[in-house]
Amino acid sequence: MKLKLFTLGLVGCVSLSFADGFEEDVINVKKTQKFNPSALEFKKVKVYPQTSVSLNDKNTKDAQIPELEVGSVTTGKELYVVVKWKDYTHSVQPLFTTNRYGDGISIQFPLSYGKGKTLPYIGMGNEKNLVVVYLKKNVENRDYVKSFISEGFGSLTETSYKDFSLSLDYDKEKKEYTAVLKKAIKPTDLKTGIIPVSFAVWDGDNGNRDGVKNISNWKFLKVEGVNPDKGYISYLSWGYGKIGNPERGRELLIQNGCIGCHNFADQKNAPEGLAPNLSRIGGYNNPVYLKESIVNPSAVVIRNLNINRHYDKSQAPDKNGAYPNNEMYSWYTKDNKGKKTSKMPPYNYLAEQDLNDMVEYLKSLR
Amino acid sequence: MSKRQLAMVMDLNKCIGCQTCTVACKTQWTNRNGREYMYWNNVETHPGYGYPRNWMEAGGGFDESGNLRDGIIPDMVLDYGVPWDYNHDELINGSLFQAKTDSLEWGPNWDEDVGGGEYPNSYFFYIPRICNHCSNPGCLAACPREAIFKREQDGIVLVDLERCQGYRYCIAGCPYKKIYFNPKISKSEKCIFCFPRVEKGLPPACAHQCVGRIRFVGFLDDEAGQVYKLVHKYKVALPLRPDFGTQPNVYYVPPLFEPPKFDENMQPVEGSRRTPIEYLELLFGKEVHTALETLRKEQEKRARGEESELMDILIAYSHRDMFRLDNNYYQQQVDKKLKGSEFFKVIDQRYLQGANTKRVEIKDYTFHEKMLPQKDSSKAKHH
Ligand code: SF4
Ligand code: SF4
Repeated sequence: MKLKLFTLGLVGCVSLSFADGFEEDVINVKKTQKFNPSALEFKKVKVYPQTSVSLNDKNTKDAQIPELEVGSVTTGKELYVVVKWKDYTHSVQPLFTTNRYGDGISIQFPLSYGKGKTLPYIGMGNEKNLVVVYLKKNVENRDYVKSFISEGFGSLTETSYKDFSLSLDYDKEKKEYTAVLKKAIKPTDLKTGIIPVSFAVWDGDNGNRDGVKNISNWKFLKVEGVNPDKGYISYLSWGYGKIGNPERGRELLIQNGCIGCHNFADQKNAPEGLAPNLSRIGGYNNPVYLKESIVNPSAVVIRNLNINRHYDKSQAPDKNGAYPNNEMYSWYTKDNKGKKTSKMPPYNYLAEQDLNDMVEYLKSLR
Repeated sequence: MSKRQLAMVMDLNKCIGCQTCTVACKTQWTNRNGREYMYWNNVETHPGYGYPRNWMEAGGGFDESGNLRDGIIPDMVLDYGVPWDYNHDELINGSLFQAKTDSLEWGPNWDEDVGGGEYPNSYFFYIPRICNHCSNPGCLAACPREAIFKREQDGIVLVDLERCQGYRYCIAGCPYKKIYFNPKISKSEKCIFCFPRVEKGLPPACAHQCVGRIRFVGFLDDEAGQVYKLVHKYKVALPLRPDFGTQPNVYYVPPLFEPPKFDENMQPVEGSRRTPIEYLELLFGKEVHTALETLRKEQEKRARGEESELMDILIAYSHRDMFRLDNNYYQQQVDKKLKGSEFFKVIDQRYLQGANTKRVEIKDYTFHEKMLPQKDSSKAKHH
């Protein structure tokens, strides 16, 4: 009897201790009666320029936004996520120009998460793992707030959700943005205790829009007083802390032929667009995804940019002079049932330490 | 990419630069709703900067190996140019004639009729330009949302406005800069080859109104059509800047006729050419030599009183022959595939409905204002 009480006490009082380094990606969510900004506990969130795919406007530049500060509270009925960041140029897309862009923010959540679920691809989800994206952009004369469902880039489909609001205010003195997302939640949404979330910001002044943006990896909203599923936590926190030798990992990436398709750091010999560029892959991906994408690349099949960007001149053009697309640049094959398979072979035969070393190196690319 | 391809041929020897086509297009499509600055059809002087300014240097299109090239997005004021008014109303009070603007730096057709060469041997010609409804469109390739599509039945390239999010990579991707950003709706728009007219058997407005009767419209595979004959049979109609790699479907009969050069004594130099052939090569590729040769030979033939089908076509006797749209073709498509209902719906609806779009309801963009955390007044209430 005594023993039982003791264990109950443990569950109630002791908070979960996370694996090394995972704590950094956890944002505590306090429960409050009503939204009270002073109850927010802010956490620094690093954001990195998206470089997996590169777009075709010569005049865009990386955003000068290295980090955000994120705080979150819940009233049980609503979830509030507050994001602050410094931006020295306040940009609004004007009404009478063709080549100027507004600052903006988006906050994305997996459509489903918790025990037994895997994380969606950070680039706006994947086919099996959809995300909800809330977006706010500075556009003159318009309150540009939208929500989307997405299964990977290029697939954003606007929703008619009315159960959220997203405000964006600029403090001219502090040169700082504050975005407040308020979204309705059901009690079941909090049950998992952990809600994955990620962020993107656009710096209009540097031509940022669409894929030209700074993004974070998946962060984890930890709801006060709810203990998350241990299995889910151990899945999410795989690979945090030091798990291998990065130099050896780099050598292994070269030896295993990864550089035939992927560019990263000083490895720049693969044709641009043949496969995701890995230059900052560790900045906006969680270790578990890095591992999975090596071992089982087809688990998450990523859309490439518009396949029409490359056509094949070695083929004969059709009667209207059109060349067929260059299939070499397609990142996956499709069978007649529409099932996609990544063109990257699975490296599921690697020794565990080799894999860990490779992940350790990829983590350092940011 | 498409099953059939509509094309337009423009005979540059006959364009008088009157801009009737430009006005026809503007009044039909672009004088409203954020399109005011756009000229889906423009007529520019060559050699010259063109419209938008320096479009040939603005990137886009495909490189030698078929990969999309990076490009830029022209500036509304500096590159497209914004019109201005003069102070006509104040002249009666004795004011000096002045432009009502503080930035008289550039405007559409700023360099009209300037051309190249030096007096008395100066030269220029006009190039009217619309979207080329390319076979490998750079705009379509550049769109990260795949919002641009090429119609199966005629190869017309359109923007699906529901999918378009106004990212503008299409503008960087088009080497002709013939797709434009509409800042009012924050979406890209372009020449639609007057498809609602075309489906009814009428040519695009620019071609129909053309005073010089320089424009021919038809399907590239219609062997009895004049477009086919000019492009494929006589090979005198050539695409503009074929090196940009998009396989454009507007073809130009290059300028052959021009006055000879004058020597120091102001005497015409027999057989001389004012327009440097290199410039024509840059615009129309190496094929321009044979095209000009064919034109010259056929013209001589006709001058000798012999028959020349080519010259008869270029004289452009009748609209019926110049425009072969065969609206039965469209009607058959309707009957076959679309069961008559969807195809001829109201123009603007069709324009909104693209190949990829599932219909979504019209959104109320003000709803969230009602939901935002209340400002000061409500704060006061809580305390
Ligand atoms: S001319 Fe430009 S806008 Fe028109 S189809 Fe070609 S690439 Fe697209
Ligand atoms: S209407 Fe015809 S002749 Fe006049 S500018 Fe246009 S293309 Fe040239």
